[in-house]
Amino acid sequence: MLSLDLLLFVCLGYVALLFALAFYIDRRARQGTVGWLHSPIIFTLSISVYCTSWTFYGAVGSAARNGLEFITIYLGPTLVFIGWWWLLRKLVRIGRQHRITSIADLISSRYGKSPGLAVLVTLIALVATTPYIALQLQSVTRSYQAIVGDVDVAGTAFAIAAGMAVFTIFFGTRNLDANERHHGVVAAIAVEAVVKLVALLAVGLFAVYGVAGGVGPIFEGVDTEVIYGAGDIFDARWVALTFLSATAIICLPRQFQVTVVENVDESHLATASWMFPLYLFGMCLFVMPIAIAGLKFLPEDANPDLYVLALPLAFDRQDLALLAFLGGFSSATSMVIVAAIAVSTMVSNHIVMPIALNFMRSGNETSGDVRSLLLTSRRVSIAAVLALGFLYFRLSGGSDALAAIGLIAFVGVAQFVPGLIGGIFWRGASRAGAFWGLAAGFALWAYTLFLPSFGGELILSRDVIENGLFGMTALRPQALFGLTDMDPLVHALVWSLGTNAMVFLVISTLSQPQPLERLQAAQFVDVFRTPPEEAPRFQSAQVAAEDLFVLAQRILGSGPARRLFDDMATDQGRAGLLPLPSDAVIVGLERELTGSIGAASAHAMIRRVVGNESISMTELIDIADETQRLIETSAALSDRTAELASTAQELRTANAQLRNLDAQKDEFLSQVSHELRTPMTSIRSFSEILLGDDPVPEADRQRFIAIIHDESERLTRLLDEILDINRLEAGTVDLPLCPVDVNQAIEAALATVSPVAQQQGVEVERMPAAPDAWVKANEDRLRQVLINLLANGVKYNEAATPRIEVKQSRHGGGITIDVVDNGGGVAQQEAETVFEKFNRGERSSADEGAGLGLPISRTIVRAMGGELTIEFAGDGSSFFRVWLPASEPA
Amino acid sequence: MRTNTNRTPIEQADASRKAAERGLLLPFIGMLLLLPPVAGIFQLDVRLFGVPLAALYLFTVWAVLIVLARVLAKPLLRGADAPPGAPGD
Repeated sequence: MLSLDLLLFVCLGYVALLFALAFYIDRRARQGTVGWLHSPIIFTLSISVYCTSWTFYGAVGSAARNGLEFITIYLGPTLVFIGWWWLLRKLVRIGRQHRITSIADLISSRYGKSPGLAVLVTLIALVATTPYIALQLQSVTRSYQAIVGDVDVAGTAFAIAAGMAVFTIFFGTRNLDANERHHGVVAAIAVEAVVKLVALLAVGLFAVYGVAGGVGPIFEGVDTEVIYGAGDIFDARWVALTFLSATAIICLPRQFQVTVVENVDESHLATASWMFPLYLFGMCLFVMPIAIAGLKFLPEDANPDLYVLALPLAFDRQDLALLAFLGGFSSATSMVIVAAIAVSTMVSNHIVMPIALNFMRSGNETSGDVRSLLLTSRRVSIAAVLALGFLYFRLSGGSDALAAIGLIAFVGVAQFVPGLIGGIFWRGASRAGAFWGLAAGFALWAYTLFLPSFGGELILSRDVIENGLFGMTALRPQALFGLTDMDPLVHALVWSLGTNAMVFLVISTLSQPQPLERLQAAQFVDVFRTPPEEAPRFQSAQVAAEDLFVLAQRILGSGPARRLFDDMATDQGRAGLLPLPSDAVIVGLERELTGSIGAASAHAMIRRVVGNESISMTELIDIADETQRLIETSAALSDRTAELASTAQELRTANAQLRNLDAQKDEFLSQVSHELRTPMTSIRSFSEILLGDDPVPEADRQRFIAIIHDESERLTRLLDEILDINRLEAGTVDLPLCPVDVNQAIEAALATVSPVAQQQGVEVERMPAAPDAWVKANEDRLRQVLINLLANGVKYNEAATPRIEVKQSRHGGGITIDVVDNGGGVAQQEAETVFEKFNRGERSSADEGAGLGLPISRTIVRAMGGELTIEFAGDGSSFFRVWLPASEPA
Repeated sequence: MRTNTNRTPIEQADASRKAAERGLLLPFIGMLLLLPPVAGIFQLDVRLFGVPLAALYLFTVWAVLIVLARVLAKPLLRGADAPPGAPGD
């Protein structure tokens, strides 16, 4: 047995350590040197307040009784966290943008800053949390008892509750602004999170390897029923428990506190999305083995809820038992501390303050009076919440009924789900719907689950529980309207949450929301589309800046108020003066106050100074729909931008084309001048010689005149060609098309070319002609093209035995005429350039033509709807191909 | 924000939209696998490595979900700065 002294010493030492740590961190935080505390790991560890002593001891107890079922309590949160993009991200964004202080604040703020809704949510949270705190006290005292034997139960529990109250008040109410992190508290909780994980893992490893001797042996000989529970484990209860734990990770006040309120950076969620499930995974890994080891090796009358502690004790491992005790202690205290902060913030902001402010209305207003009242109210609330927990523990006499309270509390806070989820995803959710849904759900929860759990000792008598209200069996709390075959928990969940959601939906669709409600709905649902600085501005009332300053001083204290107003004045360019009471200033101040006293109270206090809302419905709808309009405007803008971009692109392309054409024209002109210049020069020089004084012999005279004549002819031809191609390209030439017999056209062209060919010794071969080859063309022009191609082949053929081949075939709905010569072909890369004007190709160095033949031919063929190309044969030689659309014979 | 200079803004927007879609899908996959009727398939009196099958199944799925969430966290975070109108808004 561990001695009482040692246990007390270790326990107090641990607590002292936590106090010292919290104190140190808090002091460092005020000096601004705790950047590392803003890490996602610390955030994740603080979320682990989810694992209370109900997990630390209770999970093993549950596993010993119901097998794997315990795991559902951790699967739900896992699903919520791996799906953080859905819900948590939005909650956190809303929480930060609206400076939400608690889940009651969020729900009330969403539904038009309704004080009534805030009170209802606070009450439910309080009712669900009090027994939960009592459960923690119980588990600590029981574990204490298990180690040292008989102790003063009440005294121990009281000492723990009082210690926690001191800690929470000391470190939890340093800042008034609930949005600011409680650094000391968070640090202590992070340490406790590590302690409880390490402790449970240590006991688990001990159970598997120290007691049983391996993974195989521990499961050996274990009845299937132990692992799967009696009957089907994957049933409605499995689904219900998973769902419940998923809702609890959002709706439990302490979880909302650590996840949403104390979140300093949205990106921490991304890390927590896998790290928190990993933490839960670690907590659960050895639960089943510990439970089995307990069943196997501990006496039958041992309490499964204390196996974690009893196992090391039974095997005389006092060090491990001490670690386990500290783990359980950590789980319990961290839950109590955070729950006390969360619930006391709600109680203070939504119940105490509104009442107190009402009384203070006529009193004399001094600087900081509300602030000190608020701090006092927070502290008293913390003490009161913990006192309630202790009282509850005393009155319930530490009964076993407490063990079930975890799930009962889950169902209680699950009532927030319709109003919460509906509120942030559905604009139409209304305050009346949320309020009455919540009220109905709460009442049914109390009737079907919470009150019956006392076994007839609170409000509902045993008789009512067994026989129904007024003796009506249809009203039996655990078999409402004759639903007898259901698990009591599933039964209560279905009735309470089902009714809640139904009432919420129906009343929401029937009721007309208030203006402020509409505004808040738009801001919450579209939180990702509303930039934080885009505050709604609808204060049109007259107000003096002095009044606002007095109000801020009363709530924030004179220092912070001074700073806030100085900042706002500087923003307006009025440094050193009071800011003008513009809409932005009023809204900003309200937001600042919201962080301290919650949305409903802040709104009420601002109203009292500023006067009532003087906003018309139309104005409000304008504001509420402003986000929508913003979205539309920006969409329209981006459309317009895209349109402009494509227009600009088109213009750029057109411009490039124009430049290109311009360059072509310049080139053409210079080419033309060059081509004209050569014959002109020779004509001029020979004429000058003839006109000169020196006598010219008759033979030379004749020769010179012949040259002048030839050159003039060449000039004329050139000019004709230029005119021709210009007219063709401009499309001003009328080309009447009619069916032309290809064979005839080829014969005619050959007849024209053959004298020159014979003269040059070029053999022209006509391949066998296909009959009935008709194309749609202009006969004269087609002949011109063919002559041109043939003449080309004749003129530039440098082969030893020059030869030209003409053949035709049917091809793609038309007829092709190929003119093939063995003169060397055209290089592949030159294929297109031969069709450029004045380009004579590499073969034509000794040429006298102007180089317009091919461009003219191509233009003609294209004008007739065909195509003239250079084709390359397999052996690298090239030939010209004319393709023309086929036609009916004439 | 350009976190990857090799990608055009359009590719980035596309990547973050895909990430968001996967992020939305993950909890549904988890639900399908961890709830009846699928989970019920594994409620057999079979041991694997000495561990009852259903227990092994649940913890394995759980571990895979954690790994997937870890893989998705970074691209999702990159998309958190995406312009309004991204899925999940």
